[in-house]
Amino acid sequence: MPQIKLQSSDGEVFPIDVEIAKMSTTLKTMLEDLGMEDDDDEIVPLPNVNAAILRKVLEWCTAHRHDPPIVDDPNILDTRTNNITCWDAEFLKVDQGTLFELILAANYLDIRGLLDVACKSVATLISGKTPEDIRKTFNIKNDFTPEEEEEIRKENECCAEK
Amino acid sequence: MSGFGSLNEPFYAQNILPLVFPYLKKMDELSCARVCRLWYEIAVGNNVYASLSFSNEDIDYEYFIQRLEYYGTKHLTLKRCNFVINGKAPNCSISLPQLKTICVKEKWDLIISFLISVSPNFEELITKFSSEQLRQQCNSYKLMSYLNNPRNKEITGCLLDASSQFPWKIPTKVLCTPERFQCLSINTVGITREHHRLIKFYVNLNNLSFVRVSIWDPTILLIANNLVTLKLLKCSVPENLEQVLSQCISLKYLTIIPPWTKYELSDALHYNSIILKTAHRLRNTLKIFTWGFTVGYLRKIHNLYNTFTQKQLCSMCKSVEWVPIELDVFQSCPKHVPFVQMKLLEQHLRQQNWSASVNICEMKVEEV
Repeated sequence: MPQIKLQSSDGEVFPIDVEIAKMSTTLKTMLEDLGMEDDDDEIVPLPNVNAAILRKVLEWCTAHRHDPPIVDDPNILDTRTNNITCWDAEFLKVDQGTLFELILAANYLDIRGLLDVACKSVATLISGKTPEDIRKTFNIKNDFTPEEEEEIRKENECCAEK
Repeated sequence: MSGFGSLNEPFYAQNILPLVFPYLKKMDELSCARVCRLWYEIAVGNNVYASLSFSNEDIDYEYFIQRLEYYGTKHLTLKRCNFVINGKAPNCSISLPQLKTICVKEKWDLIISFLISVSPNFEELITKFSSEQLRQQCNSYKLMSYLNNPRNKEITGCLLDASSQFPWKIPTKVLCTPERFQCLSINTVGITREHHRLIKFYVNLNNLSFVRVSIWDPTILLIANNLVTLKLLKCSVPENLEQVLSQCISLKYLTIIPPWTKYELSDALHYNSIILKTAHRLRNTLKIFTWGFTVGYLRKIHNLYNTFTQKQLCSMCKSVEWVPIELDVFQSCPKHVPFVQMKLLEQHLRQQNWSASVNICEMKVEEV
């Protein structure tokens, strides 16, 4: 099976199957556009992803290599957050920092399935919570003045769904 | 794996929250906007406020426009809102390129026409009113205009209503897409030269109303070959009215109610003669000519008003089949008109070989 080598931002090289690399739309496009498919010795540098995260990403890709491709249409985005599989749930039992890095990496590499499930995971941390609960969850300081808070509360009333 | 970022850092918040918003419900997005200033800015940038809905509110107009601009609001819904204008005219240089639709329920406000006029990409006005209901609604409020929309076919008209209470002029942009309009109604004290110029482009105009237009040039009507209905309500009576209207070959319905209370008796006589001459000149093409006057005016000029009591007049009304057309502009239009005067006037006009039916409306409201 043909392989390519990915190099993380901190210099570690990961030889992986082209089939797995192609789960990343970014890599797939690059391989096709640049005709790098047959060149086994080429190293693709990924300056935005460190080794720890790249390892996680590749772990996910390997587990999901037989998934049907996700239709890339934002209009039919499955926004349900209650359909995360057990494997993914277990996989995403990581600290918030790692979760965010995974999102950034999945976004950069354009791996829809991973991006989807990681974003859902963050969404579940937010949904149904009050602003104060959200602040606690993400360790964020409230820097609004009471007047600003009141103003935004009013604005939000104007947006609440009919 | 410590040392990673957190969502209180701009880099992470700005890159991650927009990816997460699509998975959140509206209420959760709104909660995010309330977390901190950074998140608020991100929420605004991600169209969390793209749809705004206001109901039963008093809204400061200036603040409102500012917010729409800041949020880039695309869809606006207004239900029974009052707009409060704090003395300042709106900034006409403002532009809301994002605004696409406005949904208005139950109540019109001037602000709607203003918003449409400053939104170059405006697409749709959603309203549950029919065109006729719109016109009626408009009489109660200060200014209203609505654009003809292909998706809302019954709207083929434009009504502008600016009373003197209103501090700024009609945005001329509202009048800039006139090809489709068949119906135009202007209610204002100040019709500008620019409006005059624009009206000439209303090539398909068949229904024109002027209300309280004190200075206007009737030659603008020469362009409107299809003009069928013309209403001049409390407008000045131009000297060349007869000459101009005689060239409006399609004109079938003419209503003229001059602002009698403004005139001295001699002026009133003069304008009255212009109106009579005009109507007489058009007698073969006009189907209905409605001529308004006040009781006091009639009493002075023709001395026709006699001693009939209101009760007697009412009983007479019932026995006569002739019903005057309703002037919806004047909401206090009396239900019963004194037929004595009408009969006499009608007789008088018939004697002069009027083929058109003549409607004469008394306007008691003028007397008050």
